[in-house]
Amino acid sequence: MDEIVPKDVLLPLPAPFWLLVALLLVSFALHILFVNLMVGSSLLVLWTEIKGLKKKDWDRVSHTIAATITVNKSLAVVLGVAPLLTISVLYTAQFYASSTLLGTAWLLVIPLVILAFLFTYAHKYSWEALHKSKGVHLTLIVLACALFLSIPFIFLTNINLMLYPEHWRRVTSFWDALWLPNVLPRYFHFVTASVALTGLFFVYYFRRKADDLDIGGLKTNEVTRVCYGVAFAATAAQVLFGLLLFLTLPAHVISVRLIGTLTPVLALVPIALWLLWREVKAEEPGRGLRPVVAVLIVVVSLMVWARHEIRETAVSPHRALVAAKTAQYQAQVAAAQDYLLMPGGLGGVPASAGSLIFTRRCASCHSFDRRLVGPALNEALASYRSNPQGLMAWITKPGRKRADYPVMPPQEMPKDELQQLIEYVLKNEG
Amino acid sequence: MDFPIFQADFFGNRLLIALIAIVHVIINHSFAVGMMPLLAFMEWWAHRTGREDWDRLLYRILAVAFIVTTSVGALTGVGIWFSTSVVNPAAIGSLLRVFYWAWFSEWVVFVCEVVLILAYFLTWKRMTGVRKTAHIRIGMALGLMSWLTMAIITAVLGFMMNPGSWPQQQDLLAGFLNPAYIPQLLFRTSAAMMMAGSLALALCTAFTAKGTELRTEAVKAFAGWTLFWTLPLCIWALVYFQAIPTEMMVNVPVAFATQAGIGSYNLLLQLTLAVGLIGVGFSLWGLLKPARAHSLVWIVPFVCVSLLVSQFERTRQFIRKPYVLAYYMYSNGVRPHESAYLVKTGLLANSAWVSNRTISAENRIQAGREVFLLACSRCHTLNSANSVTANLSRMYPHQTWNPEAIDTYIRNINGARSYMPPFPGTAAERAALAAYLAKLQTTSDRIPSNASIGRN
Repeated sequence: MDEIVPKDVLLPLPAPFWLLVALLLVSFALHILFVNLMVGSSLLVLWTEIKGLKKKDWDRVSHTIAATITVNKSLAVVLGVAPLLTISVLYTAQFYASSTLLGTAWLLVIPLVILAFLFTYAHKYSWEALHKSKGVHLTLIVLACALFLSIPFIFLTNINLMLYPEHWRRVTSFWDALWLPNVLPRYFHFVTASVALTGLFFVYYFRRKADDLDIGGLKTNEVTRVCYGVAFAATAAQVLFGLLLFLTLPAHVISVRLIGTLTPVLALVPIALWLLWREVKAEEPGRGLRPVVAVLIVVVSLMVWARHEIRETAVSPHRALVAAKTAQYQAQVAAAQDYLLMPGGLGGVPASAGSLIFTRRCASCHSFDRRLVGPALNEALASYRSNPQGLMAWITKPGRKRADYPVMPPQEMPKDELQQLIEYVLKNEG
Repeated sequence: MDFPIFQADFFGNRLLIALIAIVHVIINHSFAVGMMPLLAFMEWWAHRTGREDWDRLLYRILAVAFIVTTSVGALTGVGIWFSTSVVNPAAIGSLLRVFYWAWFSEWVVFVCEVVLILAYFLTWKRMTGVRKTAHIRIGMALGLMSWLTMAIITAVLGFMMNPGSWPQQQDLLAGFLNPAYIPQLLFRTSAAMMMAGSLALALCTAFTAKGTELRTEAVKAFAGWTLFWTLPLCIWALVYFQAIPTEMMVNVPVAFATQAGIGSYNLLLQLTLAVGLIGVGFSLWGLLKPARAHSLVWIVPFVCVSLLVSQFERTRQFIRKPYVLAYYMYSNGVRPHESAYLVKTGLLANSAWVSNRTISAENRIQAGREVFLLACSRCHTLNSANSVTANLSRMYPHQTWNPEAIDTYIRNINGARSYMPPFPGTAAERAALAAYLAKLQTTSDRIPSNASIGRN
């Protein structure tokens, strides 16, 4: 099946390709870090608040976690601006095609995120006020979580669809694009990454702030151990979803380079899991956080790069076609400049100045012998034959004469043009 | 031509963008750009005079501003990109390439702004005593950052209306320092200050009891602030008005009143003036007689100024027509530079997302429909907002729509209505479009939102 090849925007890239790629990867990594924390924390808040229904102290833990979402979610949004800007510039033909194909679903991101944020605020700021109606309070965070878990489907569907122009023809709705291979594994990979990262973040947070936080009778060790447990389970699940993700990749995007990038990941993930497990079992969990973070930073960087390699392998043949088509089009447009766009398409018939003005300004609505938008001029001009001044006044400031015609808009033009126009129409009517 | 067609066939694509953008502008100007300097200034004053009741009031106003700007405000800002990229990818794609570094710098400033508003709001109750001065400085830095984001974006907005020497030079600075830039920036700065004052006036009623001294003082202070900025606003509005290119001035009546309401242009102007005077009048009331009034009274100036700003944005968006990017690209995504080639070779033949590339007697109506999607649908719907059927009914009342008459009209459409771009296709395409439009009188059609999906 032949793919759709559009032309690119007809302006050069604003910076060298490699620089834009670097900005995209770095800013996207920062963005997704805070998105992960935002989504993961919301889930953790929900879980610990439910836990708190039985053991009051977990409610305090939950409240502590909830307080951080305000910061994380604001940074998540603002850090997303740069990658959105850069991907739009780097992959205009592909990214705008998929965004437009998703259309309404893509636009829904905006109100859905607003709603998710408002639910999050409502939940956070009503903690005391609703402490007796926990059902209502929990509903708020359940709604926020449901939204935070739905919105990534739209993002992933879009950035997956942009990679595969060969599917554009048969995608008729968001749902078609959602079921393309790879979207669901990517989704679960993302959600588990969010939970894993959030677990680690709160190991750090609870240890660092141990003295300032009020978590009742709970010991910091107890909380950090739970956070570690969450991180361990989520990382283990990620191995599963990561493999699934890899296996569902279309064959043409798997390259030797990609395998080269992913091989060290395969070696490092078991190390990360082992370090995590050691921490879960440690007497004072949290002391060995640094090596865990160090290994995971390497893993995440490799994954970010692998993601870029997949995108480039998928897009570059299409990009080359787009570039060729764009260049050809620009050459043809330049060659066509000698064919002047004559207003009114006169087709080379020699014409007086008056007739040119008539064609440009009047002919859309007026013909001499029949009604168009306005009345036939042979009939309308009858009263002006000996009154060119009156006609001039009417053209520059028309009023309403005929009830079954629309009002004529005032025509502004230089005085001499108006003179030539009036000479022309009065000469030709009759 | 090069992107799939998205159509908001009920709302109209223009209204979709306008609504998101106007909500964003109102929030950005009144809750952020004007509000942060106002709050920092008042915080400084309350600190100096030892007014803790004022400090608490300001914190509450900030809480509202914080919640609104970091949710609806931030997301509608991103929403402008989402909506414009779906409605007119060619235009926003071009604009991003011209202004990439401006937007990238804005992003850096924007990140600082968010970090500062988080710091300003979340530490208000903690940074007290000797640290209060440092807290006030955070507020001032925040005000500066908010203003800077607006200063950068205003350059882009000015460019879309008047690109200055950019078409010749094609460099960023030439585009940035377009002739309308400084007047528009000063106009928006004054507007933001005024809007923030009127918003604070409205909000303070929620956090103070009627009849208390604090209420009286707050009403007086915020009404005074609002009035103070009225004069610079009027002055800069006039200077800005002068900087609009003359050929766009002819669009002002239609932009202001819409084509259907053009007969009531003067009435609308008077109405606008009246709204402004009501806003000023109620602010004066607040300044002179702050003690006696129902809380709802103090909401009036904010409502008035929001209405005026919405009307201003609507008008500003329209007057650059027939262009979406002045002198560089028409509203339908076609560049004047390409027109000659397209008239010769055809819109359909040069489009990636169409199913009819040539026109025959059999596919005439279908091809005409695709020409409509390519050439008209960025601004026109079939049956609702700014619909072609309503326009045709107005042009040809009580008669059968004649394809030839429509064709004649479209051939010279830019001459007849200067805000309409010239038709960018062959005579056969124009005839097919006219045939499709004429048929709409008797056969109703509907355009799905994913208009070019599955039909290429």
